[in-house]
Amino acid sequence: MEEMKKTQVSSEEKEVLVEIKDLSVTYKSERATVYALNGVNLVIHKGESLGLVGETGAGKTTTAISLLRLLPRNATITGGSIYYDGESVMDMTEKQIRQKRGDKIAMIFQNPLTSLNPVFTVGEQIAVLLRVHRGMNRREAMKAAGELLEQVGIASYRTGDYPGQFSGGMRQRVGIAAGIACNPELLIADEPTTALDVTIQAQILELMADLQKKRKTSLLMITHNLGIISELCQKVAVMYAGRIIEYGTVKEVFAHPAHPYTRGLLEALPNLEKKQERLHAIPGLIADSQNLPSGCHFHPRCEHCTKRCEKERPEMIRLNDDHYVACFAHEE
Amino acid sequence: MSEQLNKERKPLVKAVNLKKHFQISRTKTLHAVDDVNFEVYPGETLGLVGESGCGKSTVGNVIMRLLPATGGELYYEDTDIFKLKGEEQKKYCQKMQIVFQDPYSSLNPRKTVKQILSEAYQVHKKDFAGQNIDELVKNLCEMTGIPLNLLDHYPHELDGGMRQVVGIARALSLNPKFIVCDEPVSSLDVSVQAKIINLLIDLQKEHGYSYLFISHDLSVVRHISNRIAVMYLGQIVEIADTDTLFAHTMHPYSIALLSAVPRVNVDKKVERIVLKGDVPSPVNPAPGCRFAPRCWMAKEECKKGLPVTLTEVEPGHLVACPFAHESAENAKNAVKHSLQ
Repeated sequence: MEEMKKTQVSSEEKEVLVEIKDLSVTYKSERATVYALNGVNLVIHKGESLGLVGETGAGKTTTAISLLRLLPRNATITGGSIYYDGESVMDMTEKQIRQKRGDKIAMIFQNPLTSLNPVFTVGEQIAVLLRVHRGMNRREAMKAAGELLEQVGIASYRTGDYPGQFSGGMRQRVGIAAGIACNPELLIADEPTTALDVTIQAQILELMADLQKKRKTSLLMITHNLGIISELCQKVAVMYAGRIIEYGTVKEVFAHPAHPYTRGLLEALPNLEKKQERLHAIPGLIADSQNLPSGCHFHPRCEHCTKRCEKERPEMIRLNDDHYVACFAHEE
Repeated sequence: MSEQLNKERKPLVKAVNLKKHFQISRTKTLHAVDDVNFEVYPGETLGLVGESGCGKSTVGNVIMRLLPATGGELYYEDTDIFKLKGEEQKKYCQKMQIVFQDPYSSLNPRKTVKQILSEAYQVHKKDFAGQNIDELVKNLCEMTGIPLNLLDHYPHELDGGMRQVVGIARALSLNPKFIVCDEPVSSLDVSVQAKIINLLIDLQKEHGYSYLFISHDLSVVRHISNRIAVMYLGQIVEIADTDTLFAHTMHPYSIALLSAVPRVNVDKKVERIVLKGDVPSPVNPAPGCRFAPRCWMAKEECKKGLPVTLTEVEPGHLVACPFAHESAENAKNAVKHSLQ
């Protein structure tokens, strides 16, 4: 990972915005411990859009909320560190991190119905961000909120309406407007279109791509939909059982998937372009995060599994500047 | 499944002018399903796609008589089953079954897998007199690949994929001919989704079931269906062979819908038509084409309520747009237009 950072900085001269090092997070309940993250290494560069893909329980959302230090009480960070623009997120005081949230780092949540407060108008909810972070007064903030709504395609007179008066797609636009209100450096979008229809999803994705281009915001796009990543992101990180198992440019990873899990995911998708005979299902079940397999977490489902995979956990190997994979099969 | 074949064969299930309206208040009527016509032939899969709220699940529920129809007829072979009552109706229940969307809420949490799977045999006791129910349940498990040691488990002990398999096994228990699959894979992860789709296809090949496959996911529908019907606001706007629909999409809505799906293919970027606005409300819809307000090639007469009917433009390809021929040709130019 260290090497990866260096090569990328030198080859693309991009500054690192977020660096997650060996992050491990567990959730404790009365009976069980869930190993949600098990050594995540991830770098987000300035102005870059990174897609984080994986199935249910892979740890995508946990990665995102640890970055904002919004982990619930039963979660413990058992190891690793997170740096935001050179500062350690874990060492920040509550006040410091609060200044970052909503200002430098903003998040768009999956379900626009539950992430907006139903008893405040959408204008108030956007305006509060500007009042807290930009010190605007009520009137200025409301005016700015109206302008933000215009930017996402909602008429500004609707600042006085409540979330319940908007449709699902429009609520998500409100969520985006709130996300970009303070012109953040990093926008985290957690499955922003999963609850929406394809035609509305197309609108939202177009809007996000447009805003990202115009404002040069870094984007962390969390989704299980490989199609969205392929259309919206430059880089992709594939997660499995709390670890990043493949990382690289979207072009490289989707054209030459190196990890058996990534290959399996791509082959399991029905193709819209042509009709295949049969879908390729990955055998077995998603790793149980309460009882993780030894060695490589994917080994019980992998067709190329060796003795070594059962015992040792593979680290990231560099294939080329644009492609990294955690699989012994690619060691020279 | 070629169209010539279809013409010679008799449809297994045929919906004629199917209607489902919900009275919301004295003046407001929600037209969930309006004059829907389709046929499902023996051994084929008809895909029903559309966005949320377009009435596709309502069609499934009305066919299964989980909701009473407001109007229309539903023929199973030659019998209009909406007119049947009591024992007669029960007989037809066996022929038609449904697999629900959410395997978490459609299985009774207080019953074991075995109890869930044997329930149908107990309801239809007379028809299974003298047969050992345990044996029947075991056969079901073999057919669908449920490990026998799961029989005494409760639904919450199973993962989502296995739960959906139990849902499918339950639907198959009475040897139906026709199965409504209402978004059976949309709550599952990609790798599990592939397993369920393969299972449905294998079962169809072996036992000749007919499916009405309801889904919002076009790539899944394309994979599993022989023919596809596209729905918009309670009406079918286009129906055709799967290959025809994808190769010669005619209705402006279908064109936009197909172009909206994000694709994994990194080399080929597809030109996209982004529809403006949201799906309008199905309450008291205006006469004429319901897609007109969002249509990217609507003409003056469309907006004034020009009546549209589903008409055959080529054998087996029905489109509800009088300008369909133009739309297919104009699609490319229009794409550029709407992107500007």
